[in-house]
Amino acid sequence: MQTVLKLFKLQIDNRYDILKTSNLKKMILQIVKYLILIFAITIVFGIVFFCIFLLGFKINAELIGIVLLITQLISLFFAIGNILTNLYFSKENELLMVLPATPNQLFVSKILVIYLQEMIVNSMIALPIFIALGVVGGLANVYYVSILILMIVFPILPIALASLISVPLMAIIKYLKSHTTLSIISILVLVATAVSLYLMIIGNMTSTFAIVSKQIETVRNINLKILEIGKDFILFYQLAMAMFSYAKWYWIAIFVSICFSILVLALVIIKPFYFKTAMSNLENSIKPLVKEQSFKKRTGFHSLLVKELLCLFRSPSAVFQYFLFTLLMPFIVFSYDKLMLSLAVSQAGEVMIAGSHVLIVAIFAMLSNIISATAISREGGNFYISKISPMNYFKFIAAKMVFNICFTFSALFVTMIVSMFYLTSWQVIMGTIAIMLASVGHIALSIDMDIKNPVLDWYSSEEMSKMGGTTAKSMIIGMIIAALLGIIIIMMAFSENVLLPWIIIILLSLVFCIHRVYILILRINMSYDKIEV
Amino acid sequence: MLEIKNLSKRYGTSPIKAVDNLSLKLKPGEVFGFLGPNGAGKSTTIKSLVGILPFEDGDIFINDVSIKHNPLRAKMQVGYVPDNHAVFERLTGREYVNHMANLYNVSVADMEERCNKYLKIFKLENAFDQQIKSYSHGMKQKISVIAALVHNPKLWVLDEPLTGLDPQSAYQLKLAMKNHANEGNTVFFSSHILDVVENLCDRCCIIKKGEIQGIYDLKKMKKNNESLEQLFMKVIYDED
Repeated sequence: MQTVLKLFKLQIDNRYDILKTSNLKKMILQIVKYLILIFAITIVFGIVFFCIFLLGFKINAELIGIVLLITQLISLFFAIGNILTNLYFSKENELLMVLPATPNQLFVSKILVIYLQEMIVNSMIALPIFIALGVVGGLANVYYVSILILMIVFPILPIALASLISVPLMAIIKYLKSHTTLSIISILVLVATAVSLYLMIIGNMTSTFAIVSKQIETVRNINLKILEIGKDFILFYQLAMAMFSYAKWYWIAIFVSICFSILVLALVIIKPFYFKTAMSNLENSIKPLVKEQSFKKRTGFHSLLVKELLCLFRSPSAVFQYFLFTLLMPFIVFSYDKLMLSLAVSQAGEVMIAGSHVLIVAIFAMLSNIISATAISREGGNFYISKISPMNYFKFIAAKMVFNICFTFSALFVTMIVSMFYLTSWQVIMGTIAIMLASVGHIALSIDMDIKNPVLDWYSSEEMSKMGGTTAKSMIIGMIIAALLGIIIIMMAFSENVLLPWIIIILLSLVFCIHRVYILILRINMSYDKIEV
Repeated sequence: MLEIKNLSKRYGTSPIKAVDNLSLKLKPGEVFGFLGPNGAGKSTTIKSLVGILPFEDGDIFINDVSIKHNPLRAKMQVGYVPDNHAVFERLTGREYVNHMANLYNVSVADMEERCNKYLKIFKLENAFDQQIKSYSHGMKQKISVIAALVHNPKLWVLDEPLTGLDPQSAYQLKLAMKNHANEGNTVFFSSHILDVVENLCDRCCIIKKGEIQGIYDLKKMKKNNESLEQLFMKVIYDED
């Protein structure tokens, strides 16, 4: 047991500083900070629940049962992620497996780490929710005592289920790992499904609450629905009943027994799989491109573009880090516009909708440009190549700009075509032109910021994982640009000259674009040569 | 071939010069070793002469072309193997070398001829179409070497090239350096391994605190039975 605890402490120390600090004051301070955070989250939930329950919703065992189920599902979601990262993909595995500990001890220590992380997740989500519900509903002491006990028990079931789910999931991940394109498509489909579900729910909610006169009836119906559904989840309903009465506490014992049984069963099943998978992850898992290739003569500029493309698209994580918004832009804008067009509005309202369309498209376009905020930093140790090559620095930067422009413009073009089917065509075209011009300016600005302050590490060859202060700045500036474009259209919706706001945003974008490209050229002339690694 | 004239370089606002008034002249066809303890200014000198670092004073001429005033023409004649072994890991070996060759405007025929030659020497044929991510440390070093030689540079600069190479690869690399010099080119490399410098180089220099302590003819030293190791200890640590 001592070895297990040592292994556990080692892994915790590697993740959190709290146990490492020798200073008791610092430790207490960190715990206090953590408690303040939980308190703040509880206050937020409290306010939200207060507003909701003011409408007439009731806090009863059925509702608590449903909330218990939802928090367990949220916990399950996190547990899957924790198990994948801590059990299978952990970089510590290599180090831990050579330590003088038995496989069982190592495995148990890993499960304890996952348990602790789940406790943290629950204390950040479930605990504030239940306390807030208790306060708003004015529930008795037994409820709060039960919460404390359940906080210890809560991670067990999600961990057990997540361990079982992780087995087939790992098989899928291993397969997708060697099929980059398929993995990109799969994740894209998953994200798109989630977003469309979200938009659908929002759409339904807005239509439900649109009719104020039916509010009382709606609240009554929801209360009845909760009473009906809540009883269906017997285990969670009974657990909720136990939270209302000491007499029902034997249900907590039953819940714990069930959770433990499932956990033991799950761990017995996944243990052999863990060692097999964890070891195979330490092996070289790069799929060799065995196909014999041939050399291709390209111009330096063309070669730089191809290099950018290959380096990016051979890493699904890099694609999602930098181009998730680009890939989703047409789809989300389409869903958003559909939602907006369901509102009955006047002519000025239609212009406002077009303005909000510009705002949304511009936001996505600007987010597609964040890759430029790491144009230099992303090169890592390879940055020296641009310095030693017999090529003008402008070509290196131009290749990075063109690469970014190609993606942003493609997404904008597809979005424009899709939008033209249901929005006024000339407005869509003019809006897209303005966003394209602003985008070029934003790309130039982002690269300029990175040249001014690059984060370069001579010994780093990891060229695709740099997100830093420049990225955040680029995102904020991008949001401001997008907001300005949208707001100008919305504010001028009542203008007699319908073309005027569109001409204004095109001209402003053009000026911004020319100005930023000019500044970038000056910056390359002045600073590129002086960048030191 | 390479002439460094009064090169001085300091980092940022540091009052200490990393390289101080350094002058060197290398002939075509020679292998030149650059020795010095850690922090002596070896890498700074090398990075300045290949164009990575800007410098305040002095000038560097490669085949009489100033890197300060005509950088593109000067860089065209230099091949550089860095000490960080950085390569674009998501590319295959072939794609990486192809990319570097394109930057130097090398024809496909030349690419193929040179790559075949060095792939055989370094026994990298089977891994050439695999992603560099799957390469070992030594293999990455070898692909860096091939990429540096694909445009057949007049001046080949290597920073600590033998670190991490297995004995056979180290031998092949030393042979490649010798052969490149025999073809009338110049090889300039830094190293901590005195035996290698003693056996491979025609001349070498020792640098300490950014200043050259002396330039030595190793053939003459061999004839006089003088040891480079003893000389190095004397120059750097003042030990006999």
